[in-house]
Amino acid sequence: MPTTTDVQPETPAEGLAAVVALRRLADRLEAAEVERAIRQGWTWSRIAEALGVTRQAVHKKYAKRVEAAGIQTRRRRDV
Amino acid sequence: MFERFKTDSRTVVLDAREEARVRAEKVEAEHLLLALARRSAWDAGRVLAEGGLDHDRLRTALDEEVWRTLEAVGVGSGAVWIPGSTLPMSGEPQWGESAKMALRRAMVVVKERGDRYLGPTHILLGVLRAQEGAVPRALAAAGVDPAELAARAEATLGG
Repeated sequence: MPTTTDVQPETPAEGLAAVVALRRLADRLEAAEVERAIRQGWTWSRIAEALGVTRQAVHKKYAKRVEAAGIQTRRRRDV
Repeated sequence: MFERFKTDSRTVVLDAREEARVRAEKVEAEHLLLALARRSAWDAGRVLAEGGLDHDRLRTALDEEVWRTLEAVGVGSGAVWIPGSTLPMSGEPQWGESAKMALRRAMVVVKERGDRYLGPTHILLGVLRAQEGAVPRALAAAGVDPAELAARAEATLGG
């Protein structure tokens, strides 16, 4: 069993800064992985399900950028 | 909001968007600062360079700040680097709250001083007024005093 350690930043400033850093890291990771998934032929529905959001949400956020990059997306919804 | 911006300031805004494009999903205050550091011939860039923060050192200080901050909550050790997406930003890039606040504060500086236009030095002063966030944290870690930088920047505005 891996051991766990309680992590508490020393101050609220540290903790809040960590929240921001994690969000930005997550935003970058999300964009990179959505792109990779789309390039590998994933549908928006499947990406949305993997991210735990609606298809509309993920489509609204990335469709224009994917289109601008000239990537073909799949219409099929049954994946 | 940009109507009182000098041409130089518009350049800073465009450069900040480019800085953000490389490594972030939104334009933040640190991207404005990086954009200012690019132009060492301008007062704002010179003040930063003289304070020990040329573009490279600022970039390093900001990266290290993120790594330290993440380590404080047990995430990663040393360099955490997500390559990011190669997707182009569509239309206008998104502006994060820290950058918006820096530009609002730059406007406040213009009003306080009774200046007619907002130049890069005003943007620097706006960025340096932040109490919290990546910029003050990176500056503190690099041993740079924002108040001293601001005093030097303000001196270049004269008046």
